[in-house]
Amino acid sequence: MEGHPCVRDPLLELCIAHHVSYKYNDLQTVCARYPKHAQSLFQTYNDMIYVQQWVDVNVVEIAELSRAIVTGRKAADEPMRIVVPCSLSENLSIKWLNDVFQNCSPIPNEIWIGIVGDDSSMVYYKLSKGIVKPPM
Amino acid sequence: MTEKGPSRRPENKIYANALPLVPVPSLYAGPILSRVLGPSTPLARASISNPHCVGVFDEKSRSVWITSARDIDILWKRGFFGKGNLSRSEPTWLNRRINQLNGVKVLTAEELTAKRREERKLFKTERAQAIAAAAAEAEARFATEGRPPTPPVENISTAVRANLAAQKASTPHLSTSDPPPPLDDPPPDEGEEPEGSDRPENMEHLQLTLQEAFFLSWGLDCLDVLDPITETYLTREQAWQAYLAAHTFPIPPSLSQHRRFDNPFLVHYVVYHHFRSLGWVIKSGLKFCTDYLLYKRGPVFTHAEFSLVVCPTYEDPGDEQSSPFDLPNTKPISWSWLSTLNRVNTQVRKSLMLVYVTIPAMKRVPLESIDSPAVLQEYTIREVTIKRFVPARMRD
Repeated sequence: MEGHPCVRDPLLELCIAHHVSYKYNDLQTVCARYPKHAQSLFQTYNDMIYVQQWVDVNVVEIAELSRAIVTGRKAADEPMRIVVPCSLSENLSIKWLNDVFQNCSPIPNEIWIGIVGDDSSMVYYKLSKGIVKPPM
Repeated sequence: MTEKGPSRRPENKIYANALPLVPVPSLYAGPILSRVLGPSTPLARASISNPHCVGVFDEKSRSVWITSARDIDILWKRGFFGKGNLSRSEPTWLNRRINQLNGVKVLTAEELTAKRREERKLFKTERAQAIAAAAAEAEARFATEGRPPTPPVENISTAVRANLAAQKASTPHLSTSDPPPPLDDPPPDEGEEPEGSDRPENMEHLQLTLQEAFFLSWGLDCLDVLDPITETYLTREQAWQAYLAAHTFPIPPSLSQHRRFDNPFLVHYVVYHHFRSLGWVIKSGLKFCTDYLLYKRGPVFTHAEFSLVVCPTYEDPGDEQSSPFDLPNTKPISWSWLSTLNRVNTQVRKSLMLVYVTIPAMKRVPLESIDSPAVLQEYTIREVTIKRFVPARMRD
């Protein structure tokens, strides 16, 4: 059973059909260009489309940051939001955050970073430029 | 929130098996004969039923994906392995999607949480209104009668709760008898519309971390992992090397420095294996700013008791300087950060535990030993539980 080419049984066909490249289909070119961030992009994109069910979801490549970000709206009448996927193993710094703000066009007032763990756990953090008063 | 009594029993039955391997009583000896002959007799010994699950290794996400519904069910129900990539923990995306399209029949965990949050929000607005009304009434009474206001006889919160409960009881139940109309009406497809054809495609898979996958394949031998590129099953040696190399992806294995004792796969596997062998269910602690959460039996039974922070300690400080991994929490934790972590976890009633993993020195241990799990013997692990002590309050 180990090491040799597997006999084509139906269970295996199912595995191969759901093989990662099939699922990555929509994002395949972008993931190939930035392989280090492929997982966080894939997970964020799927989360927004299937779980949060945002509309107008687009993947925007930003060469200066060597990664792709995801833009979308929570609902049709909401403003466009920017989500920057990143992995739990990355170390973020103030410079990194500044670069993200500078390189998104138009320069946003706030971004969301989507942090993805190995088991696909995701947390979103909202970051604003400067101090924001809490709502009353 | 916790319900005791008869409603607890379904979980005990559904999640009765702590691991995917299930002992099956021997066919040859009934219970009485086994007791007479004794447990060591071959006739009385039970055999083990092995589900032989299959997963696909994904290098980019450093995980193993389970896509067959049967395997997802087994791995989740027997030991809570993995996480649905479109769900909070248990893979419920397909059910939620079906509920969304066809109306809610059975609530999933996420829907139940959403419902509770709505109810709590409603309670809070009603309570705020009641408090404002009581304050206005007291002001009015003071203005007309000149007496200082007397405190209300009944607690406002209980009054509001009772009101809401009475309202709920009096309104007719809409949820179970009349499911709301489906959100998207599928257009009739040229006359043919077979029953049940609108079952949406399941876009979700169960994602196992590499530690879980290796524990299942090496420790329990119930998982076979497929390499999607070569389309062959990985042997245990190949899997070990692949999991080590995944942490330096996308650098190709021939050039990368993945064969080092501080490879995150090894450090985390030591922790995972240690707690799993002691019977804890160990899951990601991302939501609480920690590495792992420990559950006594599983997420469906109680909330996690412990929140783990892995603190890798290098036997040889020189190894840390030459490391390509930049492991977090290797330096002593500052008091402010420790207090923050403790505060966050105390608020959610978890005890913070620091887990110190000693990484063996590259000088002392030959590098060849990294090619097999035997290298795990070189690591040590110590746990320290942190609890805030308040002298004024903790006198007992």
